Amino acid sequence: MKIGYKILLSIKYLAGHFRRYIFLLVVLCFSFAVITATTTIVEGMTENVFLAAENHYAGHVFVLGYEKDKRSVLRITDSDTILNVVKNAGFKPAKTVLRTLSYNDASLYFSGVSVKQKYVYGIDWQVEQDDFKKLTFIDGEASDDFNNNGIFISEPVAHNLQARVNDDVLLEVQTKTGQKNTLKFIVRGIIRDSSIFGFFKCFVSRTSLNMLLGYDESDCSSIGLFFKKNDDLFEKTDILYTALENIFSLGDPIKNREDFTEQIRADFSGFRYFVFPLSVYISQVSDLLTAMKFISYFLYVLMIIIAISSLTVTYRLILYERSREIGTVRVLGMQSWNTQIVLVFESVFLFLVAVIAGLFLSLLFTWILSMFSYESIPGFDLFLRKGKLTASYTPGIIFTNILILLLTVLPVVWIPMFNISRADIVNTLRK
Amino acid sequence: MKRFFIIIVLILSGCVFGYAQDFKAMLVTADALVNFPDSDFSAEYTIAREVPKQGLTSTSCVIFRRDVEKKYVIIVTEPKINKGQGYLKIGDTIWFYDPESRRFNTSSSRERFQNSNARNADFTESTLARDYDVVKGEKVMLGKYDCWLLHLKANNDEVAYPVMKIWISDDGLVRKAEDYSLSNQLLRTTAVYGYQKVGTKYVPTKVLFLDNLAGAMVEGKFVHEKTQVTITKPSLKKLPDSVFSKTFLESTSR
Repeated sequence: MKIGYKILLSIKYLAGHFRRYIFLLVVLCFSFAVITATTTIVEGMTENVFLAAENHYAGHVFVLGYEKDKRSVLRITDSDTILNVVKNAGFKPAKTVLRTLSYNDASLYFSGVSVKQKYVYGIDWQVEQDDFKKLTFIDGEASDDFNNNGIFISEPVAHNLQARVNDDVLLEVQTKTGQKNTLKFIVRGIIRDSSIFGFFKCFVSRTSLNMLLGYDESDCSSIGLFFKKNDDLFEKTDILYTALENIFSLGDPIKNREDFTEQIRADFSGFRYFVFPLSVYISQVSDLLTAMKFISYFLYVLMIIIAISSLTVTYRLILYERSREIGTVRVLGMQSWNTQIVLVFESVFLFLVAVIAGLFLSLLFTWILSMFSYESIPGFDLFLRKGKLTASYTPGIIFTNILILLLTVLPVVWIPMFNISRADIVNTLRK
Repeated sequence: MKRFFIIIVLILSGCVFGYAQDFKAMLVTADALVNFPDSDFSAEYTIAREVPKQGLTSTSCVIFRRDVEKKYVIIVTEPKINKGQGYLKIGDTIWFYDPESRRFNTSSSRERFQNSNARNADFTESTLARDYDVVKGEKVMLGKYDCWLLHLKANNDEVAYPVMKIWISDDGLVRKAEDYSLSNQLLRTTAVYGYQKVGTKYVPTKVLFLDNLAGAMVEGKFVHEKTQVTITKPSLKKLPDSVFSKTFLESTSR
């Protein structure tokens, strides 16, 4: 029997017995939808954490400078040398971002109200303007006005200060030696940013911040390298570390956030540079992400178990109901093996229909879930984009889900198929 | 010709008058009058912070100073919630002790004292002559006081306020001070209401710290955030060495 006839026959059988298969179809479709919605949302949450961190820290691999003299400051004075080393090490970053950072040392004042700033970033507008244009501004915009004594503040800061676009705010920082220094800036934009990384932060030009901190014009606090491919960041970090360790005083390779904190708190004087990938910064939330993934796996397994038990019972029942028909076909000359193949094709077509329908149902689920705002859940905003859940439908996730469901379902249907196709014809026909 | 001579005489007299004033010596005197290099110092401080629209909070503490060794200990006695908290300064290091956690954390002389407008550095010896140079001086009246207004610029980068203006009365005591940022933004005004004499030294009775940046509009008028420090029971009696130790802070909080 040719394969084409088998396929044709299986489609005819499936169409003929479609009413019997509706329950199976619903179970498969619903299971696939729940599994896919769960995994894509967890993936979306992971991506959101990564994107928030990428935006906040500006890079995939970092060189961070620490100077301990009269006080501890984040400072790199050899940015040109480091950039040369990056070039000579064979890196071709998609973008290189130099930022100056005043950490936990600044306050913004407006109309007598002061708000302490955890992060004051000095940025190069020409380099970062495209990234800022992607951010959500609740007031103002990412325009070249920023370069004209501008400041971008986050939404909570603007709310506390009661400041709006075009207001003059006073930024107070401590210089590298601890003196107080101030400069007036004009609010050019208010950024919607409620992620854990950037509650109390603002952005000014690197030139202005360097001047305020008493740094040289070419100084910065960190050099962030963006790569188009970012799945081998640890490897890239190792290469950069090796290239820099002969030239500068480097801290030990950093494994996670705690390790990083320990190293910068260590007793040393003068400059020390640290090289690490973005994952070090987000390692503080990795436990949370792992917990989320475990919950999703639990849901995954639960759905598979439900699908298997429903399929086992239902499919056996369907085959029992069809046993006379199967027996008749075999009497007419169809071999046991061919009967099995036709039944398998039937199941595969049913599976495909269920997967396609399940994919649409999953899209509907995630769309409904993304309609709501989850900002009110404490600490949850880290996983959100613009306050909402987002799902990431990558081919990898969908393919994996299809494969896992197929591998689980196939034995469940094949065993009863095998049994019925090899059963005694006389007994089968008497049923 | 007569007018020319008058101008010349005025300029010369101005120069002579200016040179006659040794501004650095004035700073040395101002420091010497309020520092205690030959004895220990202790007193009770009441620190009342007033935030417009938010109200008044008060903190009481006892201060022990030994200027010769650059040491001080401050123990908070009120409010109850902060009772037992303490500060220990030895050299340039300040430790803050929290009896709740029983831990010592390092603090800085530039940090606010108990979230008030006073800084930790305000409780230590005066170092105006050491840290500042006089840019210019002028004779002014400050209320009832005939004062020298001195424009100061820090001669090192370790002080919190790189630019200052101080008003020194004829008796050599600082009556008012204005603290500026590096970019000449007025940040804080300090007014000393009066002094009490202890031996040959002077201790302020009341000091008002006015935050020139923080405040709020009250009935159409901008009211600054301020802190008033009242100093009572000053003493120059010798203190045991054990006072200036972490153990002392821990034991007083029990």
